[in-house]
Amino acid sequence: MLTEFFGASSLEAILLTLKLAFITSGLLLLIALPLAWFLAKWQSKAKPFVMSVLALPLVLPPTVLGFYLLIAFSPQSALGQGWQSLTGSNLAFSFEGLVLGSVIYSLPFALQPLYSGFSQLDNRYLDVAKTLGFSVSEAFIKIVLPLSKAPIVVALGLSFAHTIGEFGVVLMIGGNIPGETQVLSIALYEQVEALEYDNAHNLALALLIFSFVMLAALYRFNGLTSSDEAR
Amino acid sequence: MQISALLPNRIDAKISLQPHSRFIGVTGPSGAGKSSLFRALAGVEKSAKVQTPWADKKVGIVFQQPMLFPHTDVRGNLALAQRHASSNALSIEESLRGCCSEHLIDKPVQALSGGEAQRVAIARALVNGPDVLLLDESLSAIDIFTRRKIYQFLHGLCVSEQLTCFVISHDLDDLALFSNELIYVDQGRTELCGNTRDVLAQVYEKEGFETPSSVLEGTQATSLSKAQDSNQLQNAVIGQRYGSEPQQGQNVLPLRDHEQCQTENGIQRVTVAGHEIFVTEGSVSYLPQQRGAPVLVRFTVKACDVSVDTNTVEFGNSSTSSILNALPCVISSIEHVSFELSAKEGSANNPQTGRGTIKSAKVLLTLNVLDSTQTLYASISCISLKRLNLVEGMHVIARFKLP
Repeated sequence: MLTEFFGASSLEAILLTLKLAFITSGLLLLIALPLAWFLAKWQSKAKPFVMSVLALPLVLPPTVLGFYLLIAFSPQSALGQGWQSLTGSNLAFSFEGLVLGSVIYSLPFALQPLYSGFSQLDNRYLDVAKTLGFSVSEAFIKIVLPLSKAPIVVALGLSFAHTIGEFGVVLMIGGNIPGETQVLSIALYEQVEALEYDNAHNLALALLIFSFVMLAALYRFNGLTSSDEAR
Repeated sequence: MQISALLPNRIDAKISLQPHSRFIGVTGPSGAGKSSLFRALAGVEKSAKVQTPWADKKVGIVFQQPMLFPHTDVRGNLALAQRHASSNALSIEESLRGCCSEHLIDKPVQALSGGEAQRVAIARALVNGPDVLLLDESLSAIDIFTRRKIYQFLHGLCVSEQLTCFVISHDLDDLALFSNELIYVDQGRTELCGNTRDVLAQVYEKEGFETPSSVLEGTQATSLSKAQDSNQLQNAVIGQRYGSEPQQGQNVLPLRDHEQCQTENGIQRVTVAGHEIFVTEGSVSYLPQQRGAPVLVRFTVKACDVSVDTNTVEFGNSSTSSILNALPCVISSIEHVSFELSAKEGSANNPQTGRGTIKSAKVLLTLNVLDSTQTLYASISCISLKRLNLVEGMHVIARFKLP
């Protein structure tokens, strides 16, 4: 039924996009959790510059970021060369390259909620934990993470949704290879170019509904947790 | 016990305490640095340089905000505290019972009131088994009856040498009742430190309290018959001292059955300087004692609850007054209580300086209890002072209601 509704190539793109989004948001959580914790505790004059660099993907045109990533992924660059000697394959126009690009592009969407969550966390919880004998890592796992449930879910949700909606960066570094780098937004673009409006309509509507449901769920969750805390 | 804490531009405290002191009160104006001092002592202030005799001991801290972990319930909070509990730590049940919180165990943290959360926070700290517990206004939202019970429980742990407690509070009566020693902090420094009664007297003087509380200590009386004997004996002593005959049977009524019932119903009798004093059970603290020695008890009496009687003959006159307690005293000082006017109010009073003081309608008497080194404060009106012709050195009977 889904194949009929979207078309076989679109379904492949949907599955690839979901795979990309799951891997990207999972990786982002692993990276952003310690990074946001470090940044929330870090006091330095260099902090605004570091924060700006990490937030650049928010404001930079995706094509600019995609262009620089493409250069960095090329076999002529150190990163591309290193990857090729390690895996034997090219980083640009590959799924792995897409994952790396997505992680960089969506980093601020995972980092910002976690950073503000950790910054707002009352340090006295940690003081109490310390006097109760908790080590720093134990306090982080047993106290900080459960207390930061809302920012973690928001970070996961936003980075997942943002990865689903990627276009510019993906087009620049991944191209349009079905089953390898052709994600939803690119499949839609191709359908419009090929004047396949029925399929394009279906795909666009599906993306629209997904995005709306995702955001509504996040806002609903945030509302529930904040009213819990206020009680 | 020598303690020092240094926090650049905030705290420079040097505290010297007796080795046997186990319950130490800390007071001082808001913003004096008491909380910063406690944070430094608890080791959670990174930039602090601290020297304490408990370097290798477990130190717990409870803030005014209970800081219960909101992602779990009361039981979960206590279980987290138990993860690294010391071997001599109290059980969850013991801690909750001591903090009057047994009924709260299954409640979510968000469902607790401010006072309940404070009680659970103290229980959580105790479950962890600290050697030293720092309570930073941790009982401020708890009603006075429950608060006193919890203080009594903590004080009991201190007396049995299971715990050393440092308690910040603005309630000087609470501190007066339970502290072995008192510290007064102002502008980041320990201005006063020492014996509770001495420091308290200086604090009252410094702060200009209109109705301070006096701290009395005595031994717990054991049998009712003794109380009757003692009352009659008191009458005889006073009568002899002032050259008159004790009027037995007229002024001293033996305690009746219902009064005996009361002594078992929350009222205790304490012997202070040889005189029987009635106090409610919740208003006393028990002091450390030698085995076999009489139980030492401390209680406080507010100056506004003390009246002065110049009829020293009828000492035990319990038949015509509802005031239960009487102590023979000598007036050692009479101070007119005055307070400073604000600049605006003062300009009318003293146009030149724009400042002024106004005398209150009350005077504060300092009364030395006969045959002891103890002191009582009495706050009386200027009218009474004139009418009774009270002067320093005069013998009077201080009467006060059941504390």
